[in-house]
Amino acid sequence: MPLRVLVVDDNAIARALLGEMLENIGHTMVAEAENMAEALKTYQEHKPDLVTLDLSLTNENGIEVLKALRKLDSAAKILIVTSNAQKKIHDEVLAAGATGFLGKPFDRKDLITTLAAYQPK
Amino acid sequence: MNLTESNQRALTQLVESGLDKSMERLAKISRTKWEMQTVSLETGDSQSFKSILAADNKDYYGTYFWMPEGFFIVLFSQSGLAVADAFISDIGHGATPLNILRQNAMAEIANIVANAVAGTLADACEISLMMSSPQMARGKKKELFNDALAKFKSEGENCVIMSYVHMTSSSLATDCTMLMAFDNKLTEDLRRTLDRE
Repeated sequence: MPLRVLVVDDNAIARALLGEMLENIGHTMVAEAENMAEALKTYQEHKPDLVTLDLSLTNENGIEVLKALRKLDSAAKILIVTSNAQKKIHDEVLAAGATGFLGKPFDRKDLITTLAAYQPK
Repeated sequence: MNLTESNQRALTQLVESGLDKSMERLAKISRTKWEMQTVSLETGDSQSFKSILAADNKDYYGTYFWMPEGFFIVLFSQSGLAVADAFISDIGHGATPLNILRQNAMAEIANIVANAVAGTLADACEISLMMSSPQMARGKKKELFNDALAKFKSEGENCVIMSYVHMTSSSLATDCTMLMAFDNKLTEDLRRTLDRE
């Protein structure tokens, strides 16, 4: 069953590439956002099955965006997509309510494997 | 930062370990095997580096990464454009202008390199380093460094580490300089870690 995904990343090309990859494997990018305000607004409008969130946003801390999304919806499924593979950040992000981690760069196979965990059983 | 010989070796090993990780990640998106060779690694304070960097009069593509404890700058010379083109050729362009694609590709390559090295140092020190998204600029090494120092105001003298790296694939080669500037606290965390290694 296709997932409806909100992509949060401050890089327009990164959002477009991820959107294209999602479409290619049978999912849909229903909305995109480049900062916290847009992420919260589009989340409320579209109620996506999944949010992909880059930790390094311009002038914003991705972990704060994560916390704000979780506060908005405690059941939100939020996949962190980041080049930051530090152990302490990983632990902090999971403690803040992320439901998964996808390290950049990733390929089609990585994305399929990671998103399989979000498919309804 | 004054390092013993043993500290210098340990620091070089950590940086090279980070660079090795970055090569694996670059191979994933470019479908090309890359090798990196650390040609040199120098440490000192910001004043000494201003003089060192002033000797190089070429223009570079610089990518800044900010963090509360300091900054990273990854610098590519003109040959870096060919590497960026190699990355772009494997990705669909759509209607995006080539100069924007190249800029994004160089920022992404720098992002992978900087995060891999920062991650290795952070894990070794058992701390977290939250890096900003990449910000690009173009200029002489000394100008780019001075701009970063002006923006990063910390108490006391910064520790600066400069790593000069040669990147090669089967058909391309480029040189990359990585400048890392750390505040006193991060410098002490790093020194303690190097003493243990």
